[in-house]
Order: sequence, then structure tokens, then C-alpha cells
Amino acid sequence: MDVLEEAILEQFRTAVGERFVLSSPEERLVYDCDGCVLLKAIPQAIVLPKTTEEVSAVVKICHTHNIPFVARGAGTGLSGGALATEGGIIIALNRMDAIIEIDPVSRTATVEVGVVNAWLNREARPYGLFYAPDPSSQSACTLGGNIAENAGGIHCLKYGVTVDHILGLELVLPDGDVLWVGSQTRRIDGLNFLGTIVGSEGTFGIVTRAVVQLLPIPVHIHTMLLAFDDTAAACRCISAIIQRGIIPAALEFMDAFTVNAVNQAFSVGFPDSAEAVLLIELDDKTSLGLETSLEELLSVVAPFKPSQTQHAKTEEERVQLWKARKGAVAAYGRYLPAFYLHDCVIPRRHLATVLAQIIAIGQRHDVLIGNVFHAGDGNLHPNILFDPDNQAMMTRVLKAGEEILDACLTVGGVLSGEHGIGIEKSAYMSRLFTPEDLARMAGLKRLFDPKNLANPEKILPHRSSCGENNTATSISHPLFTQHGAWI
Amino acid sequence: MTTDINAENLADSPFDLLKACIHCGMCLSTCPTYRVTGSEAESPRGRLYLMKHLDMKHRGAESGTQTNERITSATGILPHLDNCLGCLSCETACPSGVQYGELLFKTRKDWVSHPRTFWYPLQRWVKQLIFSHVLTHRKWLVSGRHFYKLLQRFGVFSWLKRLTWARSLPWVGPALALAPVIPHRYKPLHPGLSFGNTSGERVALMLGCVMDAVYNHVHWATIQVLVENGYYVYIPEQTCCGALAHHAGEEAIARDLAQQNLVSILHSNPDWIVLNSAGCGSTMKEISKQFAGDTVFEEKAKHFSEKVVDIMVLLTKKPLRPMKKRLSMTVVYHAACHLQHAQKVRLEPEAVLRQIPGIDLIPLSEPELCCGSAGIYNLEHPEISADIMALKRLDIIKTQADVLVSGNPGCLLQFAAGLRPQTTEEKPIAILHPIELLAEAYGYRGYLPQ
Ligand SMILES: Cc1cc2nc3c(=O)[nH]c(=O)nc-3n(C[C@H](O)[C@H](O)[C@H](O)COP(=O)(O)OP(=O)(O)OC[C@H]3O[C@@H](n4cnc5c(N)ncnc54)[C@H](O)[C@@H]3O)c2cc1C
Ligand code: SF4
Ligand code: SF4
Ligand code: SF4
Ligand code: SF4
Repeated sequence: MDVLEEAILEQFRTAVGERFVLSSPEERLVYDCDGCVLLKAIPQAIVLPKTTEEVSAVVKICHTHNIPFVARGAGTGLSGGALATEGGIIIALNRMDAIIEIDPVSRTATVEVGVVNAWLNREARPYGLFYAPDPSSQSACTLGGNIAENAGGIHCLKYGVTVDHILGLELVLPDGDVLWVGSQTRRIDGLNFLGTIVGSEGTFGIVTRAVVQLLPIPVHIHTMLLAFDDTAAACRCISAIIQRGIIPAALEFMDAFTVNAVNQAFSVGFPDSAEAVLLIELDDKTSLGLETSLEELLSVVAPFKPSQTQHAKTEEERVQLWKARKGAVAAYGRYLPAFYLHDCVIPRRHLATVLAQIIAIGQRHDVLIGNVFHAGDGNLHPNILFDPDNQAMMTRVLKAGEEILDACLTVGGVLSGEHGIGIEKSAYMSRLFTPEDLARMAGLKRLFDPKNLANPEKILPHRSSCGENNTATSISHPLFTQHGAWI
Repeated sequence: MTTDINAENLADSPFDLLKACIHCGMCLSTCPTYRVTGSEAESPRGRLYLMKHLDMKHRGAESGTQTNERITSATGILPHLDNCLGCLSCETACPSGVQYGELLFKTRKDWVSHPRTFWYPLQRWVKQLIFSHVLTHRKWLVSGRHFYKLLQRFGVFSWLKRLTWARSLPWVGPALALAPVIPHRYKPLHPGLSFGNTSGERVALMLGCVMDAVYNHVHWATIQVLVENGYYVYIPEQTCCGALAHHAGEEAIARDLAQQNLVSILHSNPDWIVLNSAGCGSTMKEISKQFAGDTVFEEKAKHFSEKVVDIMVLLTKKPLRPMKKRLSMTVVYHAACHLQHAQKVRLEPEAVLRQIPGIDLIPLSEPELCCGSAGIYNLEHPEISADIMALKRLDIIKTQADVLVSGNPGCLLQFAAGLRPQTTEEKPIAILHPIELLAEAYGYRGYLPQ
């Protein structure tokens, strides 16, 4: 798509300043994808506002001229959510990066949405507080992106995902009006739109500020690593822990391939002979409580005969363990230059069977698949690695991806645990929802955005052809047939 | 497993190094230029993406087939690469192990003769002249220093600073804004001088040119502390380390300088080759890469690189002799990018500083952030540089420390200008090289401001 016409660019420049409207071919090119490199679309311009007023002014210009706009945080999203697939502009919020207030008494923080997740934690730490949702990308992704995707993370098993921690937010509606939703407290009067807006992937407008809840940093923490010679045993062990009613702060799974990648990237010395590794963290207010749950956990684990049990002895060791876990996906870059990551959530009792199926699918299509996931939630993350320059491999990768999705949906799983539907999974939506359900969702979207300008074509299958395409499990992958050549 | 999947295959040539970038974005928030411009094109991920396109265009052109029909052009891409500080903070952050520095410097080298702007050829010529003829002549630098002091004495700089037209000149304006007040003491050091007991381990001290011209006393502090700790220190025959040329992509000049240093310093048979300038140190440490595959120099260069060590790292090799004086003060340590990111020296400097009696080290919130100086970046890109300094400044001022220390002349110059108090209430902060604090603690005088 071509650059916007000069007269409109000029209006944007007046709104945000000369330096903060990007329109050269090179500047536009680098915004053609997010963390998901399968999908590409070059925006017509990028606008970088600094304040809510500027966002509102920019959105008003879009509204007047019917220009679609797509919000973007850090562009670490994994479902192509931040792409201007329908043309129009990207409104990148990363310059809105002020932490406005941390209130240690009511344990809340008021932030602009461009604040990076890890920065909020850094600033809250001196007060003994933390912001619980911790996506693996937290050192880079923005709170706005987290809100839009309802991001989860390693510690969300115990503490809940983003929506559980947002008390209020400021939304610039698609006509430029500014709306406050929610409050400073945990209670809301009237209709509660908060839960609707969190997770709406920028399709209802642009979130500019948020009041978030902070929690006291747990004092007593125990982190350990269990290695297994048998993947199925590791999966059964997960189910047993959950069944017993133990809620660890985190319960993560890594397969042998991931362990290898992580060992290379971080020199953490995970047992590389193991078939599967579980990382488990327990926390508690009292040391006695911690000891009791640790004992219970160890007794649940014992029958599954882990080949090794390592306990983090110091805070540094613990930090290193999680750093390695959080860097796992990126560490795959040591093998192949790109990954296609699914994000299904399945009922936990099916973990062992589905994981076995995924491994078989990988072998059948001769593709590398790394499995590292939030085991406690049943949120799988099969990473199919690929080289975009290798067409033959691409075809195998897409086919494998589709079969994995099938396997998950068959056991009653859902499409996305935390990465959102975006453009990448929108074609699959009609697998899960009836046309009536989808029409109702579209109706809600129309209420907020009658002109369909805010991140159009995301989440909901857009064109009538989608419904037909995605039932076909041929190589004509919906991503490609629907939009033509994306790559 | 498949046969076409092989990590080794990927790393064959520098440009396949590009494939290591999986576009995850984990490096974004640590990139100073991205932070202040907000633009993905000024981020590591964006720059790698642009390098990839440049490479595809280049290969397409070479083989006669235009593989890439994209809308971009080299003239459009290169300024974004020129805007990079080369601080390598992104390398530290990248979990995929992308060798960003390799890629950047290789691309700059390949494209150094491509004119980006009308003035580029002239600018390049001036830089080449400086890199190969001014920085390499100690006499010129020393005379330059004296001339500068003379101008300073007669208030020429403060007078120039009042002229709007002078302030708006490229290079001159930013240089005026920096114009450091050069300390008065200058005790020349020249090849042949040696200090300490000949029975100690042999330390060849590399002077660097900026460090020697502006902060010559830092060398004396280095010598004093090393001699206190039983080393034998001498000044070998040497020339500029070539870092500036290397970073600008002027590889021929850089290589020539590196070769001169290699031959003359190794000839003096050192146990250690010590530097107190992070920028020069990282270039010297990487000499082995520059000569990889060279039939004559490969082995020598490897040998050389192994002996190169930053002063603060050398001081952690053996227990320090006890220090006599207490320095009651609060100190912040600014880790120069060329130490923490390029040389991966992270813990040693603070470990040494903590041993100084009486010192209270205050941590920064964002210790990985660059100061915006980056060689001559602050002269070439004054606006971005000033914005980065503003970020850094906030973090430092917040600590209310008495002293800021940093092991790189570029950082010291940048801070001398950037940390000047902006209001009368603001507490002035002294800016020193860490070794100066050690020299004071060993009882030498005159390093601390009155
Ligand atoms: C290595 C890696 C690991 C990851 N691990 C996790 C994980 O553990 N858990 C997890 O949940 N996710 C994870 N992700 C996915 C991603 O980081 C999250 O989805 C994150 O929330 C995206 O934030 P962002 O700032 O990058 O948003 P972007 O990618 O820029 O945008 C994502 C979506 O949000 C919308 N959006 C952004 N800002 C706003 C706003 N202010 N208002 C309205 N809409 C907005 C965009 O339009 C887009 O649809 C991972 C990604 C990577 C690359
Ligand atoms: S962190 Fe590494 S792999 Fe990820 S985008 Fe940056 S350079 Fe690429
Ligand atoms: S070297 Fe520094 S300025 Fe350049 S891309 Fe990396 S982090 Fe950014
Ligand atoms: S500091 Fe190093 S590169 Fe810079 S001019 Fe001096 S010796 Fe040369
Ligand atoms: S001057 Fe210092 S902080 Fe700045 S780029 Fe160089 S090493 Fe980094």
C-alpha cells in the first residue's frame, strides 16, 4: 500500500510534531510485521503520539478521513495483531512511557500504556510490590499490548492473567472521544466494560492509560527443577499436582530440544539428558506454609520418578532459571531463523496424549518443534521452527501447524491462551463459534466502532470466504489463501 | 531430524548471522536510539531488518537478478544504520545470540563509500584525514591540547558559545556544547618510560589518544595503583587503537593501525596489555577477529588479544594491597558500553570499587543505558545524543551521589557537559575515572575536586 497523501501526513505532523510521523519507505517497511514473521503488511504511515490528547487528535483525523488505524506497543505480539492489513496507519504508543504514580498504600499504579512491563516491576520493587502478569517477553512488551492481548505469563497460574489486575483504563474511542472505564478500586458501578476491553486487541479503540493492581512480593519462595526420562511421566506428574489441589506460583514444561537451546543461550546447565524438565515455583507468606506445601508437592511428585531434582539455592540461581525459561522461545533462533508458535489451551488431563501427537506430527512432517509451555494452565506452546527462505519447509510447517491445532481442538481446547487471535488465528474462529455467535461479537464491535476503523480485520473472520476456507485441511492454508501472498 | 536444519550452516558467513534474528523484539527496550526516537527503524530489530534488505538488494544486484522488489533504497537505509551508537546493549539483551556488532560493522564497511547525502564524500574525507593523520601523531595531539588550553585561557570558547551562528554549525556547535574544561596538570608520557620494580609482572600501558590528550592524569593514576600492587609498568611504542576508524567502517585505516600496535607492543614482551579506556580496550581485544585467516598475523593477533585487559579487570586478578585512606563519599558507577556490552566486563569494576574504604556505591535504575557519546556520535547526531543524555541524567541525578565514575574518556567528556547542574539547587557531581579514586585511596593526591 502506498504512503498516505501529503495533506493528511501534514495534519498528523501538526498533531504530534514533525519528528514523530514516519513515512519514508524504509521507516514503513520495518513496521510490516510483529513477533510473528509469517504475516506482513506495510502501513501507510506511522504516528508516534506522546499524550492522550495527541492520540485523540490523531484518531479524529483518521475518523474524518476514514483511515484505518492499528495500535502498536512493542510489536512483540505473536498473532499479527499490530499489522495494518487493511492499509491505514499504525499508532505506536511506545513513547507514552511514563509511570504516573505508584501508590503503595492502596497498592496500585497508574501508568501510560507504553510502559514496558519489566519497568513497572523495577519501579515497584522498592515498595515491596510487583505487577503479577509476567509474559516471557516482559523485558520488552508494553502494558498496552498486555492489556490488548490479555497477556498471561509464568506466574499467572496462581495470580491470574492481565484482566485480573486491571482496575481501570482510559480508552480513546474510534471517533477520538476519551472514555474512562473502571475505577481505582476493585468495584465498578454500572455495566462493566473492563473485561470486554481487556483482550480486545485494539479493536475497540486505543488504550492510553491504566490503573493496575500491585501485589506484595512473596517473601518465601522455593524454585526447583525436575528432570524426567519420559515425557508422559512428566505430563502425568503435572496432572497429579493439579489434581491434589496444590497451586504452585508457576509450573512450566520444557522438552529436551528446548533444554538444549536454553543451555546454549544462557549456560544454565539444565540436565541435557532429560526428555522433559519441569520448573516449579512455590511461594507463601510464611516459611512454615512454604515448607508444608513443598513437602506435599515432593510426595506427589515422587511416584513419577524424576531422574533429577535441583533446588535453586540462592536468589541469583532462581533469577537465572526464570531468565532461561523466559528466553527459551528466542533461544530457538540458534537453530532456525523463525518460529511459528501456537498457543492452544487444552484440558490438562489430555496433556500427555496431545503432546505425544505433537511430537508425532513433527516427525511426520520433518519439522523441528520445540515445546515449552505453561503446564499448570494446560496452555501449550508448540514452536514450529522454520527458515522463511525455504519454501518446501514452509509448506511442511504450515501443514504441521494445522494438524496441531486440530489435535488441540479435538480434545476440547481453545485457540489462544494469551497471544490473541489477531490476524493469524482469525480464520480459525468459525471452528469454535457458530455464525450467530460471531455475528453477536461483530455487533459489539460495531457499537464501539461503527466505521470499522480500529484494527479492522482482526479477531473476527472478516471476509465471507474465511468460513469456507478454514474447514479445508489442505495445504492451501487459510493464512495464504485468504490474503494472497503474505510472505 | 532433518538435514537442512543445522545451526552450523547458519553461521557460515557474516550475513547468515542475520538469520539468527527471529524478530522477537526482546532487544527493543534496551536500545537508546529507539527509546528517544520511538521509531522501529532506529531499533536493533529494525536495523537488522534493514540490513537484511540491503543484503538482499546487494546480492540481487551482484548476480544480475533483482531478487527484491521492495520499495527501499540503500540511500534510505544507511542513515538508520549511521544513527546507531554501536553501544551493543542489544547484544546483551538478545537471547538468540545475534552478533549485532559484527553485522553492523561489516555493513558499514561494505557501504562506507556509498554517498548518503551531498556532503557525505566531504565529511568522509575529513574523517579519514583525522583518523589516519591526526590521531596517529602524538605530537599533534599534544600541541592540540596546548593550543586548546590557550584558547580556553583567553575565553575563546565562552565567547564562541554566545554566537548563535557558531552554535548552529554542524560539528562545531555540538563540540562547543561539549567543550570540556581540560585539567591543568599534564605530565607527558612517552615510549621508553617505565615504573616500578622490574621483578613484577610486565604491564604495557596503552595510552589511547583522547585519554592521553584530555585525561593524561588518569594514566598517572593507573601507573600509581599498578606500582602499589607490585606490577612493573612501561610505555611501549604505540599508535592510535583505531576504534573510531573501525566504527566508522574505515577498515583499511583501522587495520593498518592495528598492525602497527600488534608488532611494536608484542615486541616489548608484555605479560599484560592494559587499557583504561573502554573504547580502545574493546577494539584491542577484538584484534584477533580483524586478523582471522591472515597467514602472517593470525597467531600474533590471538596472542595479543589474550593479553589485553581493562585496568579494572586486572585489579581483580590478585587481592589488592590494603588502601590507606578512607574516602567517605557516595559513588555511582556508569558502565561504559564498551566495557559492559562489548567486552562483557560487568562485575569487576564495581567489585574493585567496593574495596575502597568508606565508599558507598549507589546502583542506577538502568545500568545498561549508554550515555550517548559513542566516539564522535555526539558530534554527528547531537539531537539524539542529547536526548539519550537527558534520560541518563535523570537516573544519575536521582541518586544524589557525590561522584560519578566511568572507565571511558568518551563517557567522561559527555558527562562533564551533560551533568553540569541545571539549577542552583542541584548538587554538583564530580566526574572521575574509577582508577582516580583508587589512586586517592592509596594516598596520592589531587584527583578529587576541592
Ligand atoms: C519471545 C516472546 C515470548 C512471549 N511470551 C509471552 C507470554 O509468555 N505470555 C503472553 O501472553 N504473551 C507472550 N508473548 C506475546 C506478546 O509479547 C504479548 O502478546 C504482548 O502482550 C504484546 O505486547 P506488545 O506491546 O508487543 O504489543 P503489540 O505486539 O505491539 O500489539 C499487540 C496487539 O495489541 C494491540 N495494542 C497494542 N497496544 C495497544 C493499546 N495501547 N491499545 C489498544 N490496543 C493495543 C495491537 O493492535 C495488537 O493487536 C511473547 C512474545 C515473544 C516474542
Ligand atoms: S532480541 Fe535478538 S532475535 Fe530478538 S529481535 Fe532483537 S536481535 Fe532479533
Ligand atoms: S548498538 Fe545500541 S544503538 Fe545500536 S541498535 Fe544496538 S542498542 Fe541500539
Ligand atoms: S581513544 Fe582509541 S580510537 Fe579513540 S582516538 Fe584514541 S586511541 Fe584512537
Ligand atoms: S561513551 Fe560510554 S556510554 Fe556512551 S557509547 Fe561510549 S561507552 Fe557507551
